[in-house]
Amino acid sequence: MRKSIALFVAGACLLLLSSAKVAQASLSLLDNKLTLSGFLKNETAYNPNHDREFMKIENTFQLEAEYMLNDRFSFFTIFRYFYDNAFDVNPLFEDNRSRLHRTRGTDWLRECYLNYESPSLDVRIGKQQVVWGTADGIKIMDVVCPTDQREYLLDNYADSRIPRWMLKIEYSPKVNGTLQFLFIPDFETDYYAPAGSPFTYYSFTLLQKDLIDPLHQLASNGHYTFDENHQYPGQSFKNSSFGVRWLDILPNGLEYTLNYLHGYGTFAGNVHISNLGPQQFTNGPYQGDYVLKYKYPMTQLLGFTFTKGINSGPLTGTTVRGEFAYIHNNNNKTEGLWLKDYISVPFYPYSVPTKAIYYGITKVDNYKYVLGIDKYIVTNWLASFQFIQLVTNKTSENGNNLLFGPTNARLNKYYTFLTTRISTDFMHERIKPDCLFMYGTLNEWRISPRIEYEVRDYLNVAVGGHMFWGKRGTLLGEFRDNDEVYCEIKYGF
Amino acid sequence: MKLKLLPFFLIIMLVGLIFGGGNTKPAFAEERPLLLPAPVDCSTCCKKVNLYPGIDVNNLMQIKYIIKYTKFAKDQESVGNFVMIDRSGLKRTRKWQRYRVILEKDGLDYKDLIVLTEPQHIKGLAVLTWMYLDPNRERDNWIWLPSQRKIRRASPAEDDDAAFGSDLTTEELTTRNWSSETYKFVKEDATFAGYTSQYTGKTYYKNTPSWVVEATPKRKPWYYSRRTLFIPKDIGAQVHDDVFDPNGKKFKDILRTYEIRDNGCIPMNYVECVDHRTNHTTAVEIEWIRFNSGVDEKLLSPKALMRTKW
Repeated sequence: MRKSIALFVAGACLLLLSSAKVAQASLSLLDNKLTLSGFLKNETAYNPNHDREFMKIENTFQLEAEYMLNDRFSFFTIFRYFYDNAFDVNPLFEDNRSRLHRTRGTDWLRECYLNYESPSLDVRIGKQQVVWGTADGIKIMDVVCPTDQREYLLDNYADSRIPRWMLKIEYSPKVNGTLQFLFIPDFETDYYAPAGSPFTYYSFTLLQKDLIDPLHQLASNGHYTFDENHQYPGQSFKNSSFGVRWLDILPNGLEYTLNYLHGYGTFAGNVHISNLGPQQFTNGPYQGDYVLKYKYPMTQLLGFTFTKGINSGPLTGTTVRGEFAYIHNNNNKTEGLWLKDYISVPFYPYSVPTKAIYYGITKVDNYKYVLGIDKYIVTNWLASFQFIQLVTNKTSENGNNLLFGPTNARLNKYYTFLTTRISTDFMHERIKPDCLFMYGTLNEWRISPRIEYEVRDYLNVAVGGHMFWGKRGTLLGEFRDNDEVYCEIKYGF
Repeated sequence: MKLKLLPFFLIIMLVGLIFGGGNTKPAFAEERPLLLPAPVDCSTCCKKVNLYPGIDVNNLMQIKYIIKYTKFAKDQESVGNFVMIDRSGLKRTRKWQRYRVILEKDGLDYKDLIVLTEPQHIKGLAVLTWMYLDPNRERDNWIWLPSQRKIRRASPAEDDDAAFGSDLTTEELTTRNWSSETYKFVKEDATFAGYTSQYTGKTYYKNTPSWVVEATPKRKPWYYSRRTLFIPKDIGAQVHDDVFDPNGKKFKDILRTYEIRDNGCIPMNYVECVDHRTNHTTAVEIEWIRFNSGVDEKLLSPKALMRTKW
C-alpha cells in the first residue's frame, strides 16, 4: 500500500511540474544520445453487476531509456513497476494478494536489449517482444511471446505479452523480403490467474472448488494431501525454442509471411494420486497424496499470414487479411480416472490399487485461422470484421472426452467466433471511440466499448467496459460474472 | 456453422485479389521537360524545375506536385512538428520524423514513412505509405500500433478525413495529385498581397509576383468546390490556397513557405492551415530537411516498422 501511495506522490509531482509549464517532452541527455521517457498510469476497474467490487486499482510507473551508441548500435530498456490496490480493498482477492498485487521477481525489467540496425541486417539480443500475426481480440500466430492472462486478453497486448530473452536476426536479401530467425533459450509460458482472482479461467475455479478445497476439508478426518508440480523443462540447448519467418510483398501488393516455430505449446495438468486409500464415503474422493502435475509440450507451429490492400475497382480501400496456424503435438486434457499398481489383499476384492491418475493428457493437433476485412466507411469510421475458427483434430481418446482447457467443458471440434470492431475519432482526434463486438457460435458474447480523450499532449483519459454473456462452459461465457467498467488516467513524459 | 462460412470468405478474398491486382499506366500531360538534370558532379544537388516562359497551367501544376512531393530529389529525411490549436488556444503537438524515397519505376511513385516521436502516448506510431504512379491505383498503407507492438496493413483513410487530427485532409497532405483536379489561370501576372500567419504572426510573400490558378476537383460531390492557388513565379508551387466549400464560401486558408536552396532543392519548410468553420489551426513546422542523403529503400518496408522500439 505504501508503495502505491509513493507512486501516487511521484505522479502528483509530475503533474505539478506539468502545470508549471516545465517542458513536457521526453528527456534527452548526453548530447541527445540518451533519451528517457515513460508514463504514470492509473487503471481502475469496477464490477457493477455481480460482486460490486473493484476488479483493479492498478498504478503503474514505466521508464523507457534508449542510448544510441552510434548510428547502428543502440541499447534499449524498459523498467516497469505496478501496484494493484484492488487486492487490498477487495476481500474476494485476499488469498492471491501476495501473488498478484505488485510486480513480482524480475518482471520489473520489462525489456532490455542491444540493437544493431543496417539496411540488410538487423540483430537484436536481449529481453524483447516479438510479434507475429494481425488478429484482433484473439491470438492465433502471436505466440512467440507468451501472454500474461491475469486479465484474460483484455489488457493491451503490448502490456500483457511476456517478453523473452532471445536472439533475433533479420536479413533482407531483397527490398521487400526479410528472413527472421529467432533463438530463444529462455523458457516462459502463459500466465493464468489462480482461483479467486479477477479473471480466473473457470477450469481453475472448478479445480479449486471440486478438488483442492474438499481435500483440505477432508484432511482432518483422513489421509489427504495436495501439491502442485510444474514439470518445467531444464535449461539446455535442446530445450530451447527457435523460429523462422519469411516476409515478402509481391508486385501486386500481396504481403505474406511463412512461419515456423519450434517452441512450447499449451500446458496441461493431471492429478496423480499415490498412497491410495479407500473412499471415505460413496462417490467421495479416494484418500491419498494428490499431486497436480503440469506438463509443457514441445510443439511445432507451421503457419502463414497474408494481407492485401485492394487498390482499384469497386472494393478500393478494402484490406483483406488472414492468418493460419497448424500446431502439432500440443497437449490436451481428457476425462478419465485410471487406477494403477494393484496389490493383493487377503479380502474381497483381493486386489486394490495403490495409485491413480485423474484426468489424462493426450497429444492433439490444432488448426487455427482468422480471416479479416477492414474498410473505412463514411470518412473516418473504420469497420473491421473477422471470422475466426479454432479446430482440434479429435474430441475423444479411447472413449474419454477431451476437455476444453479454459472451462473444463467437453471439447468441441470447432469453435467459431465472429468479431466486429468499429472505431472513429472526433475533435481532431482528441476523442477516439472504439467498440469490439465478439460473438461465439456457442451463443457467447463479448462487447468492449472504449472512449479515449486527450486532455493535453501528455495527459490522457479513457473510459470503457467489458461485458460478457454465455454459458459457463464457453470461452466468453465463463466470465459472465466479470463484467467491468473502467477508467484510465495516463500521464506521459 | 463450422467450416461452412469458409467458402464465403475465400470468395471475398479471391475477389479482392483479382480486383486488387490492377495497375494501369499513369497519365502524363507534359510535353516539355519539367525537371532539368542536376549537375553530374554534385551528389546532393536536386533537379531544377523548368518554369519556362509562357508555361501552360497544366505543366505549371505538374511542377507544383513535383515540388510538393519533392520529386526533384532521390530521397528526403526530415523532422518536424504538428501544432494543433483549438479555438480556446489549447495547443497539442505531434513531433515526427519522416523518410521518403522517390522511385518512379515498377509502378511505384514513392515510398513514405512517418514516425511520431512525441508525445509519449503515441510515441512510435508509424505510418508507411506506398504511392503508385497510376493515379487510379489506391495507395498501400501499413501502420505500427505501439499499444499492440504490432504492424497492421491499414485500410487507407478516406481522402476527406483529417490527417493525424490536423486541419489538413489526407488528400491535402498526401494523396492529391495532378489528375485529381482541372485547372485554369485566373491571372498570369498577379501580385500576391501576402498572408499573415495566425501562428507566427509574420507576413509571408508580401507583394510577390505570382500566377493565380483555380483548381476544381473532378470528384463530385466533394468536400470543397474549388480552390484558388497563388504560385510565385520564382518557386512554381503555391504559397497560399483559398479553399471553398460546396456552397462557394471560403472555409480554409492554407499557407506554405519554401526555402530556395542554391543546389536546386526547394523544400517546403512551413505549412499552416486555418479552418474558419471551427476556428482551429494547424501549423506544421519543419525543423530540418535534407535531400539525397542515401535513404535506403529497404528502410521503407514493413520490416522498418517492426524495428520500432515503442
